This record gives sequence, C-alpha cells and structure tokens, in this order.
Amino acid sequence: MAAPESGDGNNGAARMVTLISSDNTRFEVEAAAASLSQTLQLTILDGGGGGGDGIPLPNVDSATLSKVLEYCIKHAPAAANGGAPNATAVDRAELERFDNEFVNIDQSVLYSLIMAAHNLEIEGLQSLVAKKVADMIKGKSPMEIRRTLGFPDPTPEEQAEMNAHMLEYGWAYE
Amino acid sequence: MASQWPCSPPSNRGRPAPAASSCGALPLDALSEILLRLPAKDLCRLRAVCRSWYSVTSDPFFIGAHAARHPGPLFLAKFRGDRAHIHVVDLSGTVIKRMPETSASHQVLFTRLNLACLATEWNRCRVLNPATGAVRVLPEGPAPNHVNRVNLSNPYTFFALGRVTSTAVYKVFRMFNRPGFMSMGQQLFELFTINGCTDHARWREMQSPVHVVKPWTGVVADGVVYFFVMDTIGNVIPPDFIVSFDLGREEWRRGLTGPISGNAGALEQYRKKKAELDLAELKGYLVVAHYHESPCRMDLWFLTNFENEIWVKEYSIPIIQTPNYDFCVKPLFVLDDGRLVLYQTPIGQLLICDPGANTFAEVEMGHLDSVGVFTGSLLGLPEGDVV
Repeated sequence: MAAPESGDGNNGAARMVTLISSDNTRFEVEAAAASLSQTLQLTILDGGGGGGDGIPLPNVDSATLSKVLEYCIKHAPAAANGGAPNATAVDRAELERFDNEFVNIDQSVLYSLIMAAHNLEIEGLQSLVAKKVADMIKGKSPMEIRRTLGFPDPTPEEQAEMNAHMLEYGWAYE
Repeated sequence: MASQWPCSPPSNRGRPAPAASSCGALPLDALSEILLRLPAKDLCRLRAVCRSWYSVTSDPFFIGAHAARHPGPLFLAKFRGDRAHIHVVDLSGTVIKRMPETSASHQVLFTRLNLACLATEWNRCRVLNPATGAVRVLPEGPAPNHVNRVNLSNPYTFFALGRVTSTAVYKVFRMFNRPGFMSMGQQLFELFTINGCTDHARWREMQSPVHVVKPWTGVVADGVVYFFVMDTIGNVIPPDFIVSFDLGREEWRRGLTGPISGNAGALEQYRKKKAELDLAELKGYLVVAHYHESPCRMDLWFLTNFENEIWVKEYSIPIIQTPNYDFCVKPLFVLDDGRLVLYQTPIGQLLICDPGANTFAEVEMGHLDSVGVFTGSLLGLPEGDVV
C-alpha cells in the first residue's frame, strides 16, 4: 500500500510537520527530526502533522518543545545514518560538545526535559538527561541529593528511616 | 496523542510497578534510567533518599538490569594486612564494600557465586551473603551416622560451596579426613543444603568414592565437586585421574581421565617432579592446570564434555617457576575479552594476563590472604536472600 501523500507534495524539499505545544505555539520542523520521537514516528509515517493539521502535544510547553526540537534537529542527520557509522571523529566530537552544552541548564528546565523526553520517547535525549542527573547525584549523601533535586525536607519519620539506613549501609558511606 | 504524564508508566516487563516516586514525581522508567547509571555503592547509599528510590533499587528487574550494565567482576578478598574484614574489590583495586569478619583464621574459598564461603581446615565454616552481609554459621557436629567416626576435638576438614544450576540450591560439601587416613583411615563425606527444603538444613551423610581423594585439590564447577586422587598401595593411578561428586544428584560420578594421561612425555616429566597438576574452575568448566618445565608454561585444559572426556587446551601461558619447583600461579577468572585473572599464591597478588600479547599486569591492591569471585549484585540477590 502506498504511503499517503504528505501535505505539500513537494518531493524536492524535506517534508515538514507541524507540532503544537500546550500553549498553542506552532513549530514547523523536518519530519526526520520529529521522528526521533518514537511517539510521533508512527503518526508521521501515517502522514499526520502535515499541511494545516499539526500534531498537538498538550503536555509539552513551548519553551520545552523548542529545546527538545533543538536537540532533534542537531541529532537527526546522524540518526538518519543509522547511528552514523561513517561519522568522522570531528562530527562525533561536535555532537558531544553540543550535548554537554545542551544539558548545562537550569534544573527546572532539566526536569521538564526529562518529562518531555520520556513522554515523546526520544531515546538519545532520555539517556542524555539521565546521564546529567546521574552525574549530579553521584558521590552525594542522601540529604545532599534531596537538596540538590529540590525534594521537600524529610518528615521526622522519614528522617528516622534515613538514620536507620545509614546504620545498615554504613559501608556505603565510607 | 500525548496523554497525561503517567505516574506509573505502562510497564512492558510484566511486573507490577512500585509506587510512584513521592519526591520529585519522576516517572519510574525515567528514574530507573538515571539510577541504572550509578555504581552499586552509590545506589546502596541513595536507597535512603526516599521510599520510592528504595523500592526502585530493590526491584529484582532493576537489580538484574544493573548487573548487566555493570558487569564487574568483583572479588571477595581477605587481606593479609587486615584479617578483621572481608572486602569486595574490583579489578582496579578499589574497595567497594568492607564487612567485619569475626575470625582471622577463616579463609575465603575459591568460588564464583552470589554467595561466599569462609572456612578453616579444622571444621569451621560460614556462608556469607556479600550483598546483605548476612552470615550463616554451619554446625560443627557431624551427620548422625558419623557421630562416632569423627574426632571433633582434632578434625581435619575440607569444605566446598556449590550451586545446583537446575534448582538454584546452594549446598556445602564437607569432608572429614580421619586421623591417619594416609595409612588406614577413611574419608567421610557430608552435605548441607543452604536454601530450599528446611529439613535438609543439617549435615547429611554421603557415600565415599572408591578412591582416596586429595582434599587440597578440590574445586567446584557447575554444581560438581572434583578431586584428584591418591595412589593406593600396589595401585598406581594416573596423576590426572579425577573423581567427582554431583551436588544436585548427591552421588559420585564415574572416574575421569585427565588431559595428559595419553602423553607419555608429560607423564614422565610429572614423575620426575618437573611438572605439576592442579584443578580450577573457569567459565563454568572444570580446568586442569598443567605446569611444566622447558619451556616453563602453564597449560589450561578445559573439560568441554564429561561423557566423552574431551579436553581442550585453551591457554598456554609462560610462567615463572620458583626454585623449589613450586608452581604457584592459580587461574582465577576469565574476563569477557579473554584475558585471565591469575592469583599468585605466595605473595597474594592478582595478575591480569593477556594471552595474546603475553603480557602480565599486577592489580594494585594489598597482599591477599585468600580470594574468591563474587558474581552477585551488591544491591541484593536476584534469586532472593538465601542466607
């Protein structure tokens, strides 16, 4: 079965799709970039998101979506090469530099990105943000972690559990 | 299209998802993705962050995924400089965990399991769960039928811990060498089941093999205990003849001819004491280590098929021999890339041998008193706490 015609019908230019954030901002982006999202990929393959339609993303605000798409646009060419086996060391170094810079962000933005990457199932972005949070946690005590991640102060009951745990896992604190 | 952020995201692993994270409200899959990247020691510490982090890192699926991502190996070590602790160390020599050890004289047995066994030659034996630190002290008293046949005031024992693959049951094998057994005495064999059926939680009498085994050669591979045997009066037995006890079926198997019996030159060297034989376990196989001179090498023969007695020489490594013909490098572990971890017994040091490049690298750590391999996760046992 032939794939449905996709909106503009212009075979020369890259196919574009429109994504609509929760605050109703429209983002036009290459289908190849948006398809890094497993969630969007099927809809796009079915011809969705083209023309005036647009795909609504009611749980991603425009600031977060713009950040997510920045990632997707940068990574789409390498992903199209099947993980870029032919990529030069320079290309890989450039992507790595981009990634490092990309997650050098405010914690609330990082949190929104985790949620968006999870919801849109963008594998590369999921690992990138997970690695960032893991690096923030590594080597810290439970209280430091709670503070770093902005968790509320433990209740007396939780504090007692934490103290008991420190006794049980004393070796892990050495 | 996009749905609400799930509190408990749909699981494709067919398991009930633990309660959603109360702090931070991250989806559990996203939280797992973050925590999987951290080393076990960090995870044990951050189990205290909140209840949901505790339950995520205690989930058997998480523990399995974490083990796959951080493949180790880890070693259980008792150091000569600190016999009051058991250490879990990695190959960079980093101490990951330290557990108090009540007896300075117990030695870590050579095992490659999720549990460890500590024993003396005078009938003391404990099984340790390195993940929890739990210890099971095994009773000293013999099996009922052996009560009057064992001298408990001056015992000489051999212990081995093995795991029966088919049932995931751990069993400890004990042998009493009766005083004077070299001339007339008899070796007595017993078994103790660690987990599973509770009425087996006592020493049970096992049959003795036809041969007298050399206790110091005993090694466990894939749930079977193997030994070389002694010559008996008027009956010379090939030096590589092997007897074995199946821990699952709880019976002795038929004798097995080793890899050098068919080689007259090798046998001649052995008789002239210019060669030695030892048993080891590598990659789940029984291995005969054949040390010989000119050239001075250690050949490692893997038993790939018991029924047909097929031995394959997978490694031949140049070694240094000490002046009194003591070959004292024991093969301990094979890394994923084929490199061998060797244990130099006289100085208690681990070496990593690259057989392709013929290079040796010393692992930077204190001198070892005894060492074993820990295959489990410090987060807990995937098969539950058996000790």
